[in-house]
Amino acid sequence: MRLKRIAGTTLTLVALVTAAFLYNIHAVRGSDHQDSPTVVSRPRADVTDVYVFPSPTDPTKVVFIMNVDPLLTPAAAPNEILDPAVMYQFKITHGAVGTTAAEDQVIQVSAAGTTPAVQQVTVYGPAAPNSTGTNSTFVAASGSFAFNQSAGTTLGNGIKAFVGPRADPFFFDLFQFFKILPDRNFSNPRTGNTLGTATPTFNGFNAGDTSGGAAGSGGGGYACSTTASQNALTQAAPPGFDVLSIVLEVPKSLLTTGFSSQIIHVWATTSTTTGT
Amino acid sequence: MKVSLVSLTIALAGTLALAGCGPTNGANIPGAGSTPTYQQMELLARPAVKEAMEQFVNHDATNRSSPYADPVLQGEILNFMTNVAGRSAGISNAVQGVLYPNEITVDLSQTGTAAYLGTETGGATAAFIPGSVNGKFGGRGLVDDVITIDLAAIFGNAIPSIITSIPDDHKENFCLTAQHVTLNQGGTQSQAAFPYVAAPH
Repeated sequence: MRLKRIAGTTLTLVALVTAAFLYNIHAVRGSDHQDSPTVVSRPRADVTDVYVFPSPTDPTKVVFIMNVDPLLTPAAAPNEILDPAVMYQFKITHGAVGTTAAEDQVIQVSAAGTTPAVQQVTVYGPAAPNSTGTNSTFVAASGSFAFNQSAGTTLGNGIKAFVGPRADPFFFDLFQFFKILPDRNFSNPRTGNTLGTATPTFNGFNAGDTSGGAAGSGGGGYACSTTASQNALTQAAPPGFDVLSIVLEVPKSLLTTGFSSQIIHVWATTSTTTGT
Repeated sequence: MKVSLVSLTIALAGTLALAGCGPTNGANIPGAGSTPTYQQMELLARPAVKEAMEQFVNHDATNRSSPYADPVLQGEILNFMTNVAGRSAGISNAVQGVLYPNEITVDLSQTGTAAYLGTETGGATAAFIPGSVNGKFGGRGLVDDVITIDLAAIFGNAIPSIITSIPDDHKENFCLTAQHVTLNQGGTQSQAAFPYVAAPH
């Protein structure tokens, strides 16, 4: 219904209304669709997505990307910067699949300066953390560079780094998702853990449909379709949404030397001195 | 809709206000081991695990935990798979086993492209990622359709087909096993050269 209304407006209005709608329901923040009130209130500390992939241009390196600051419009993105009060952190542990070991290596990022023109970004590590768990202090710095220099800056330890606004690469059919799981819409929160509670929670699975049936037999009020969907989130122009990307192209040797396992497990955190 | 626009306006105004105060040079870069201590307020690893499977009220607890010591997520994954998706105990336990701890796993000894959940599944998820090579590197690439991979595990046959010791529970919902979104529309997801994420809109 909302989508139909939006489609009937001018392109500019589509952008504004979509942005407002998404922001208001707190529902689409990259793959991190809903977040706690604390995180929502500090969007520059709101991590939308994390990527780790082999460098397309240098086989000796691996790329770490942390995207923050969801739903930036093209007008807003050029004014955005990292939050100088926030420690951005990739945490890493080494070991077999399924390990529950604590982090044994961290890469941290901080920023100073409060305009895009003057902001300087500093990378710390990779190094062993000063302590494990949810409280952190900075490890040794590896170098600093200017904000939003798309050519990247190679630090003394070989890391090539960039921080600045980029197109949000996450793709997701939001409106299909809300048809399937309406309780994930912030305005219609789930109140219980199971089906059959007072608030409708789930339209996808029909308990009577146990046939494992063919496509088209779906249940529970969800219209089964295999029609290619135009993503209502980031790719659909205009205008598309942007995020702030922290891109670190890290020599694999920095992550493997001294460790018995070449399997790493990665997560991203943001932290402040107050936790808010 | 008015309320929505007001919310956005307030948010943007707040952002601009924040950008307009404080020091304007490169001072105040913290040094190694410097105090004070920073307290974690947000965590993200695998996409959409917390968001799809955990009740909203528990997000803050997960955000403030280490993924290997999360007090709620493990139970929430099992609860979601069993009671919401309606899958068997075998499939539900397998999904929980793969997704907890909630960390992106990468095998740096492998060559080829990234493939979300590829290390955990012996490269099986590469079948969902056009152009993927090997798949055992794992990690997450910019164009990996992570939502479809999740849907295939939650509502489809992915788990019994990968782990043959787990029987098909015949509770699939094939309508929900893919999101049918076209990848990399207009090149907005990835580019060949550093920094690999496309220029802003």
